[in-house]
Amino acid sequence: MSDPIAEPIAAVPYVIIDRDGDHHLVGSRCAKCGATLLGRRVACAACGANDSVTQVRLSDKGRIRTCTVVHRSYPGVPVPFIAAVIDIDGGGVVRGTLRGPIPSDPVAEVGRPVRICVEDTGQRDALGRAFYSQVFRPLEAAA
Amino acid sequence: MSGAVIAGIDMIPFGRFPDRSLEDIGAEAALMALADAGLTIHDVQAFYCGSALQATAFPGQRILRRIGQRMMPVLNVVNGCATGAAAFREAVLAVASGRHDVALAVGVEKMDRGLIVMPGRPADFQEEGAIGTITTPCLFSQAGVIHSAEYGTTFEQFAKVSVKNHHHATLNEKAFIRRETPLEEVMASEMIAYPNTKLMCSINVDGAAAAIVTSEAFARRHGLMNRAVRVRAAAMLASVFTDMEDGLTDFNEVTRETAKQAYEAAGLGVEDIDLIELHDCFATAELLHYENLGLCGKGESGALIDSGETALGGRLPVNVSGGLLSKGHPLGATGIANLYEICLHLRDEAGQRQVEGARIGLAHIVGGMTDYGSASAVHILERV
Ligand SMILES: [Zn+2]
Repeated sequence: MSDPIAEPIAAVPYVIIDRDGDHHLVGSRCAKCGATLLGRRVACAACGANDSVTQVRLSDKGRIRTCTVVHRSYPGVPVPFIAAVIDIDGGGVVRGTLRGPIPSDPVAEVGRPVRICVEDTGQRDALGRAFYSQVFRPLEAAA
Repeated sequence: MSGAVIAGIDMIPFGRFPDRSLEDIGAEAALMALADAGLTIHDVQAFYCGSALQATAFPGQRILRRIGQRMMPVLNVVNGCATGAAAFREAVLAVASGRHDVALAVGVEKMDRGLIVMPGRPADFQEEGAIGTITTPCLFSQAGVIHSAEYGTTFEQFAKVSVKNHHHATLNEKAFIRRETPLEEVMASEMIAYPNTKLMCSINVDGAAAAIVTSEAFARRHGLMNRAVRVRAAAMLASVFTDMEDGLTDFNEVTRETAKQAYEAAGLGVEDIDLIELHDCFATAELLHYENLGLCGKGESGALIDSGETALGGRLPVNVSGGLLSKGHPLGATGIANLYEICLHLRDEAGQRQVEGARIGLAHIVGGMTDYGSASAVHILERV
């Protein structure tokens, strides 16, 4: 499915596509209350301040806050897969698919460290460009 | 919320009605509620119509054409799973403000089968599976897993919610599913997303429910107080900030804060409540909301379902209607159907499932969409 010469584009607004391949997630940090929010914001969702938010690069490491194994999804979506929510090291939260073996007990996965990778999803837009998004890999198994 | 009463309320039995239109079932519910109040469309001064999926297509106007196009403003309301409750609350506010004496609230939905397709998502990128999940059972499964990780709540405890609510539904002729589901069957049914199995998910059905809200003065003037139910609190909140919502829509904090406002407005505490209809869209949700609504402390909901205290005959029965798990969940209608159940008990009209001596009841709704936010409503009703 994946085409090595397809131009990468962000599948979600908080993914930054880097010319040199250093793709990453972007967030916003509030100097007033300390909140870290996903994506670029004009104001702080937590405290409402609109003069205190700056853009930050989010870490590529985090821990599993929660996950579930999805056995039933929309038609055409391959199952099972692990849908996880990740607490990003240093602040921020992001959802995504956790690669790796399907766990028998998702509860036991909570707290496990992961690497947050921005990769080709295999999906293409009408111009043939590659949608890139975050996926999570167990940190032990990350390259 | 002094001065607003429910003078009439009813729901059609939820189900699948391929041959009936949205306005047909909405009109039926509206006429049933009017008949319950002993009023007609001529008495109605404002109409709030909730439909989560068709609010942009004038559902209220379509219903009005079926029941009588009297001069009145119609406001079509949409607010996710809180749609019906939001329409009802608008009717309450319209009356409590003194603007109108009589307001009609209808919640109505025609549903497709299967997982709900969320509106407003990216068209060219299939996010489901690629970046986790946006389906509602999965969101509530993820919320359940957090609870299990923190407090040790078990799959079996979550599954007991379905056993209880399906049992309650055997006493409710308006429920869609009316059969006992033993614990083993609930746990062995198809796994949708751990820990919610198919029997731990509410079902998409068609449905409609309606309420007539009047001022207490109007109800007294027209001799309606003998069956009236007083609205003690009508609280609603959206998207309370949590540190997790960029990854998982919050249903807990928004419910806690809405309940807090409702208890404060009513001057009541959970110890005053005789029965609760809460938003059991999935079995995991019910246990979370035990804690959010103050039925028990944090982490104690597993023990509470084990104790049987939330079953009919227990200390504080929850979802004696059978809940969404049994009645089905026609998004826009659910909020008013929950209020209908509370009213039945406060009027001593709940038959076999009557909560004896019920004086005060609480109805809770919460909905949400991944990346977008939540909507929650808590109403507290009192026997007059
Ligand atoms: Zn802030």
